[in-house]
Amino acid sequence: MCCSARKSFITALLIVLIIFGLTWWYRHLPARKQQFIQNLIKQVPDLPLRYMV
Amino acid sequence: MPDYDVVVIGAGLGGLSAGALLAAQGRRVLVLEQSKSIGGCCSTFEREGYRFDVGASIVEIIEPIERVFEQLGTTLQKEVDLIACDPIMSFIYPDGERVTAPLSVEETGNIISAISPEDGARWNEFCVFADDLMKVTLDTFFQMPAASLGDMGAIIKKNPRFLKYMPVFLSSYQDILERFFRDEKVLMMMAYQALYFGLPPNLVPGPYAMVPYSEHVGIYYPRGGMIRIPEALQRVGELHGMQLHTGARVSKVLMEGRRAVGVRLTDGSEISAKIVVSDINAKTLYLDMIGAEYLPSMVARGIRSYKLSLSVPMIYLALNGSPELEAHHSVIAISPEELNRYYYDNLLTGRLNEGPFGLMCWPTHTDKSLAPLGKHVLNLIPQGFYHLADTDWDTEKPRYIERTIESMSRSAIPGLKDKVIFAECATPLDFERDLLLPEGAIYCLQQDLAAQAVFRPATKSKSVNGLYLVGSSTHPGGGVPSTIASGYIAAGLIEAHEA
Repeated sequence: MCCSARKSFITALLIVLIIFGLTWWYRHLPARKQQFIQNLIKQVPDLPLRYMV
Repeated sequence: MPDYDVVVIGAGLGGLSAGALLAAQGRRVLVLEQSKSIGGCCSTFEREGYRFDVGASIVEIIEPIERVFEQLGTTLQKEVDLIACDPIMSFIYPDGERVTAPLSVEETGNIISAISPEDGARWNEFCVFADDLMKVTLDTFFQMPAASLGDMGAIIKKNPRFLKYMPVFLSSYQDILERFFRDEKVLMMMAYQALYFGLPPNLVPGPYAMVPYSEHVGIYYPRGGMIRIPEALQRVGELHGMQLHTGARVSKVLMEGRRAVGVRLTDGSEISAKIVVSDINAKTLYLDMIGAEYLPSMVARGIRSYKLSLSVPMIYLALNGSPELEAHHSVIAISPEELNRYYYDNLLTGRLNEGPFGLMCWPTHTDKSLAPLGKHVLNLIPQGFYHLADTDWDTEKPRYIERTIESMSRSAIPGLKDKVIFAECATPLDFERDLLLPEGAIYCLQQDLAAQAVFRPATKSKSVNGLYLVGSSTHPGGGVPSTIASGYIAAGLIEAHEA
């Protein structure tokens, strides 16, 4: 149980670190790169549907 | 027995190349075109002895076109009198300075070196990069379908160097340019070409950044006008037995279950066929001509999710003398950031900008036969888009023509106003009415990364049997060589899958 809790804590910590890292990376991108990524992210939900067309 | 083996909806470049190639396979092919003329955006019309190109103004990257004519048993050079353009482009800077780029890569390098020695040195690196990228895409994307992971695997198997350029697809046009060039003035020579793909430089996928180089491999103008290319496809296709009816507008694709079995025309007549090839906007095809009721709901949602591509107005001028320009193509130089701002601040809000920018095509610089002796034709492709805030194109058109000529006379083309004999304009609304392009979308669907390759409507329909797509809506996208390549790819798939 203790081991499992530690694993969950490490996983959660890793996820937080990855999110923090990605946010930091994104915020330091030039505006044009942010726009490129925003444009793609907005369309991610459509991609599986478009793959079927 | 069906009336035809294949019925093709639309005599654009994709429809004609597919129709001709399928006829050469021995199939009974009928091409139906709603308009009185063929070619779609790659066409030419005549007014009072002057010939104007409807949209497309030059042809470059001719290898896919040569491949189609070779497969038809002839050559592009034999069928179309292509005139090489040199210089290829003149750039007019806001301070009035003009820089003209010749065809020669070396001489262009010298011109760039005079602006920035560092960028001049990097021009050679850029050319090596773009040349290799172009060869890889010509060997793969322009010949092969890219509708599934299996297709992508086949592309990589055919040319493993494709993998090397995968990261380029995750970059933008602007990223690639700025990887090589730093000087704003140099970047201003290469930014505008992003609009050839209907998006600003920060959204166009990176591989298209090869265009500022590919223009130096050769740009050509067909003597007599751009319509000479579709005319040649029609002529050669008819030699193979292809039939073409103009003034024949399709209203519905006839379906039996999940299979396309022909078309219904607006006059009510029906034509049955084993295979239907569509050279129209994929949204119109699937949602209007077939109907969502024949599609799996996820497919219908997928089709609806596509954004339409950019449209542009075209102003056609007959002139009583030469315009003060230096090349077949001239562009008011603009930085990548200014183009991005134009997209977000003007295009997306529907507000036309008063400042001039855009492309100027001077076909009589290359081909004097397009106008009476001593006279000229000039096409202006200024900024513009379908949705205008607070007005519409029918209301705006007269003011737009006048304002554009005034503004060009003051900046890029001194004395233009006094040389104009007459002016005509095709607005995005006119393209919608005349060419049946929804919202005047000249590339049918937006061409960003999320609508490319496996995410673009498949050439061989995944949801309707016996249905194939060509033209800008499908892979490899919009533009003269791409749409002709789409016909080649479709004909190859039909040969492989349809007995």
